[in-house]
Amino acid sequence: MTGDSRAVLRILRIALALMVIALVPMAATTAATTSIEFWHCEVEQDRQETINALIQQFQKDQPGITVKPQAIEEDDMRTKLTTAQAARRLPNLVWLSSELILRLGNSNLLDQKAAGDAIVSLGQSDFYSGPLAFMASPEGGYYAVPYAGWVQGIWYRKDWFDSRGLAAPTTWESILKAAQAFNAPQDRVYGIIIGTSKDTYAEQVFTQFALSNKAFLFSPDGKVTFNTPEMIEVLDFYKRLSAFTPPGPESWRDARDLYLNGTCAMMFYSTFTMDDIGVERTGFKGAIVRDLVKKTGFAPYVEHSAVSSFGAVTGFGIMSTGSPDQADACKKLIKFLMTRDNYIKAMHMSPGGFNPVLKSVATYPAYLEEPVLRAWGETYHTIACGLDSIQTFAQREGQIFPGYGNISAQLIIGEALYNLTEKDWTPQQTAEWAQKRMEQAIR
Amino acid sequence: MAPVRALARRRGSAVSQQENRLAWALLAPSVILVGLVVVYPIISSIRMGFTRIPLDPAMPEEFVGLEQYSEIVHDPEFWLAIVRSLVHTAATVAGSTLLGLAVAVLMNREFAGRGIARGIVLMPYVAPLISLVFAWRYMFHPVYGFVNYWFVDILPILAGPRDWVESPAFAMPMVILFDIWRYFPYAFLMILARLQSIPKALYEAAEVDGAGSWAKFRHITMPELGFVLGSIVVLRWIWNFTKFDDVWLLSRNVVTVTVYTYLRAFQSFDLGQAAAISGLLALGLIASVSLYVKRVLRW
Repeated sequence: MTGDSRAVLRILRIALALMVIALVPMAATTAATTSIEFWHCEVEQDRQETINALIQQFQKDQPGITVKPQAIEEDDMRTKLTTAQAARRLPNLVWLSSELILRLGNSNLLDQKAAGDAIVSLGQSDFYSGPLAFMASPEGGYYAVPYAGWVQGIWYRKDWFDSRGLAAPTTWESILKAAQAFNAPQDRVYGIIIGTSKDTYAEQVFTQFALSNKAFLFSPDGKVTFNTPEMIEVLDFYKRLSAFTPPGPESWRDARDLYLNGTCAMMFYSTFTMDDIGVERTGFKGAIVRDLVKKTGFAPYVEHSAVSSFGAVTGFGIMSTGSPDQADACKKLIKFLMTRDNYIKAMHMSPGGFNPVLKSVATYPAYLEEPVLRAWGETYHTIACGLDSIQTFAQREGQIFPGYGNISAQLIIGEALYNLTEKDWTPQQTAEWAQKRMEQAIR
Repeated sequence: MAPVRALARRRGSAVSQQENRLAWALLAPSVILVGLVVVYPIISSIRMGFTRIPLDPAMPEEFVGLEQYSEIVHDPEFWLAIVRSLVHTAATVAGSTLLGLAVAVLMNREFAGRGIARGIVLMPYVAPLISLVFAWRYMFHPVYGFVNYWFVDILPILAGPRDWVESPAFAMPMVILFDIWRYFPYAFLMILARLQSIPKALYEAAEVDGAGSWAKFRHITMPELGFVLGSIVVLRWIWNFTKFDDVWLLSRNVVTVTVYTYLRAFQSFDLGQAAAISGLLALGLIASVSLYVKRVLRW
């Protein structure tokens, strides 16, 4: 028995020693290279393959740098970032929407100097000014390097509009009139899809209406202004419009599905849908509505007391929690990804959805020579131009309000719209409730 | 003689020391693992409940004592979430146990294809949650779901389609229905196993005494099932009260207390408050289960 236990103890000691020996070379290898962790939201298999291929090429060019990419579902990114923050295990580089960038920047987690250096090295004048403004910090620098953008608008059945002699849905009146005209719930056809769920989509649609009524989320001195008469007027209009949507709350998925199967006349959607609608052009045989590209019109702005166009910009943020070597490696990777040929490869992952923010790339023939972009022709031209004039609640007359990141992350606007349309709250009641929640969120 | 005995004692103690060391070496991996994945998170969570944690890693954490607990108990949303959780748990525990009992009694009889039927009953419990959720969401979709199609177009019971899963009126009943359907096979499995071990002689003796089906069920089956039913109710109560995935995936509009905790942590970024809620929930569960076991089950 004694001999047995000695033997087992000896084996355990040997196993421990072997583990230590095995770990030494690993530690040595790690020390020789700079390793950076890169988080992004492109979880689709084909997009990951493109990104990973670009990263492999980068690692070949830069043998001293190892990049560990991690794709995270967009809706899970907030959770992951919060957990990583709490655990002090944040990545080095993130590719995120401007709302999340603002929230991280507001928490002093982004290296503004590194982002500024990267922008300068790429040629600041080559960037469209709209996307750059999305990444600006109140201190006058940049939280992140803008990378891609999309524009939102109303995609509508041009053939239906033409047959009824209706004007393109660009004003509050023309949108409401068309929604009412096409709404036929008994035939399962609905006038319009707008966001009425507790999600980002609802916030995005609402923002475009709010800005078209000069209803801003912040006063110039940075106070939340969700209960102004202008905002209440927008809520009232939104509620009236929601009468022509399908029963229950709608999200972006409903918008896309119902438009593609021909059961709604209008939907608010980003330019990512160009690829969905245009799939028939690129060989898809199962389309429910044939030639949908030809039958679709796009209204990129909404007009009331002002004209508003809405969109989003994503960008690369370099975290301030890494070492100087890691920040340098991140800058090199950003530069590599934004070099013309690599940039075009990445933007073609979703033609129309990803739009380059560098003028020299957006106008380059090899970028425009893509089947989906060619199919949309003139419509795509409208979109590319729209990127420079998009607005959000985070900016007002050149001022930046990073607190919007917190309001957006808590989906307060989406929840308010759900209460308004599904629980039948009054616009006044909704505005007061949201005002209180927003004040708490930026406290 | 004495020195020899002392030597033997010394040798004996050396052997036992070595065996002790071996025992610790063998236990060490499990102790370390349990320490890392169970004990450490519990201690860390308790500590977080008393700490305000800033998102900026450069800023220090602040010890705030019972402040976060006080904020929670004064938040009406928290109490609403507790009520929703109690309704959801009570309904799903009762529903899944009763349905499991009924199906187990049925499946305990002899009939052709019994093995296959028993296997099919287990499907909701063993199928991946996400595929079930997607199937239900499509079935109950207001525009292209077949439930609305049947109720509105084929058998015109309803005037128009409903959003069964997301609308405020139907979201909670749907989540309850889903969880009863998903978890009744567990009760079924446990009850069936116990039913099969009840001696047939008991029923035969009852028949001799003139007992009918109901009398046999009430006076033999139910008392024999007492222990297993008690265990199912306790376990299901704990599991369903802390259920998050089913509720969150099926409908975003049923804010039970676990969903509320998640929203505090990952939408409001208030990790400290979320940890405090978890602490309160753990205490509440321990108290309610202890009370149930002592007073109701009298174990």
